[in-house]
Amino acid sequence: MKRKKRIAGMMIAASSLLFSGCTADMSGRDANGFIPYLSVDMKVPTDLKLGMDKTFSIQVEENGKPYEGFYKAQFQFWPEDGSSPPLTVPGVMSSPGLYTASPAFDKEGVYRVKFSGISAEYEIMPAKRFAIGAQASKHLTELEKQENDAPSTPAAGGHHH
Amino acid sequence: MKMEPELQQSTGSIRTGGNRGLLPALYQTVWRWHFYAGIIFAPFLIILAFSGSMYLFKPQIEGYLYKDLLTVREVGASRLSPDQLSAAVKQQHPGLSIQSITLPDDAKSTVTFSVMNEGAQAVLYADPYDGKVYGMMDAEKTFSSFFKKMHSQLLLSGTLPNRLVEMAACWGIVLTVTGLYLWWPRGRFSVWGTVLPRLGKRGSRQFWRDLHAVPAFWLSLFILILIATGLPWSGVLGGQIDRAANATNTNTPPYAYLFSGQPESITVAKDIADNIPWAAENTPVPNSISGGYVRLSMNEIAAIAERQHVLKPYTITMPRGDSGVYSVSTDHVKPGKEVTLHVDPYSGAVLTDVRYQDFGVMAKLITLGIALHEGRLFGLANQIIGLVTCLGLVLISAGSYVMWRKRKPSGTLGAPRKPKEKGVMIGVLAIMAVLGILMPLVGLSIMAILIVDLVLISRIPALRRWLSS
Repeated sequence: MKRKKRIAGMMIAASSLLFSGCTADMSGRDANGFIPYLSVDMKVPTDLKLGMDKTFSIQVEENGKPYEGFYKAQFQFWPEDGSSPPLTVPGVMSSPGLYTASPAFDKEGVYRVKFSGISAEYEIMPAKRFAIGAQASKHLTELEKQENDAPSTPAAGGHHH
Repeated sequence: MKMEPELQQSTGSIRTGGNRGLLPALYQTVWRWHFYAGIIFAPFLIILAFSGSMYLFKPQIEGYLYKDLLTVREVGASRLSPDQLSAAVKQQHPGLSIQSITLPDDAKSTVTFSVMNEGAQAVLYADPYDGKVYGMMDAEKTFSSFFKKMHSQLLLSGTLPNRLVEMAACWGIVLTVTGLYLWWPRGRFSVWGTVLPRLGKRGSRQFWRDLHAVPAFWLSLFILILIATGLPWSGVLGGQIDRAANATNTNTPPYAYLFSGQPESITVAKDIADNIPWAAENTPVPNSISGGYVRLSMNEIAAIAERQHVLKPYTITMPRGDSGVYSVSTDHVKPGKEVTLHVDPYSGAVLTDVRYQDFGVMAKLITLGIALHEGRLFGLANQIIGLVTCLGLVLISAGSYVMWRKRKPSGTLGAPRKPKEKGVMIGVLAIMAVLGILMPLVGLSIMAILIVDLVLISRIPALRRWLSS
């Protein structure tokens, strides 16, 4: 009897193992089918003035919880017209998952800020534009409006049949 | 009951003339189904076999036809980046919008862009070393798309042609199975006429019968495999297969293919309000503003793909609208290296990563089946087996028409007579009903036949005689 039970148990275990090898691998995926990912919320100060340092920040979360696993976290700032090289500032973790940098700018214009966060599992690189000076603000607004008004990329792709 | 003389094959056949009994009646009924299915669906099978045989050799034929577009004039020292290439393309053709870029793994291959040009979808080929555009083709008018449309749509538009193709393919299975039953040697076995054709009396009915039945026997397994590997694409049965794979969790994880949908970006794309108050008159312009997130470049997406060990050739598909994502999908000839990534266009976060090894067993089988069906699974040998099967199918189908015309009496269709044994007829109908459940369009057509038989044929004696009903 014991032997029969053991054989039955082994057969169940073997078939479960075989069956699990047949199913789609959903391990680590959420209900939407997403693998673990980082979400970001980047904030650019809106009262930037020449010569004054203001804090740029990015809140990074993994599955809704602050993420602190980067071995490299830095901000880069450069003028959109490429008139000067990028300024690299290390991202300081001010609070869990909140990385900040406070550079000062000496020239009006449209700039870009890019955060680079690299860890063993993830890499993110969000970027935003910002403008210092009224003329630059107007220019940036027009730039973004043009981009918003541009027709979006139509559907591509297909299948054999 | 008088049986048709055609039943009396010299290949160890059943001698049925004048005999009554279950087996002859069964033979007669199966033959009847085989006959009608063949008459109706053989032309479709010929079209499918012909277009399929052309599509099988797509790499060789397109490689020859479009050599000037597909191959670079001279291999350079270094390739341009995807962004540089896109800029070069847009400079040469300012009006077009780029939908995707396919980066090859071969140094001699051009880079392929999928573009919208003057409202039409087109394929553009550019030199990866200097960005020169070699040419553009209407995506709908390439060699492969023509034969693809013939194979799946009979060159027509809409859902109906596609369903007709599926119905013909399913009846192809019924024809093969019933054909095997009819071919099965009964009585004394003879090699000639069973496994080898008797081609001595050219043009005779025996000649055409053997030219139909013997190759059909040899190719039956290949035909069944070819049809079965094509059916997962079909609209009705393909949907059922997909549902069965989902129900058993043996399908792909979500977002395995671009055509099955894409997720949305998880980053709020716009921080800036749509109605900017200071843009109105008499409102002062602020001294500084923040724009929205900037979409990542194709170079950055290519770098992400490389870091995720996605091997070329792969295609980067542009996001659709503000909430769309970048997609990276491999384009390998052989199955096993499939990867599909969806990348948030604002943060670079990889949201989905589905690889062949993540597929469930059914999805893996379907993927292998598709490669086999398209002649990609094991190179030239696969293509040749596919071609022989297709040509054989054309021969079998066309031969059956000659055979029918040869024995068809004038004034009737020449269909095998309906046997009087109702039990056998009901039994065969039950088997057909099972096939109809497995293949819904077969079931639907059987129901249509029964209704036509009941409403029309049984009430018009002349029609009944013509159909031997």
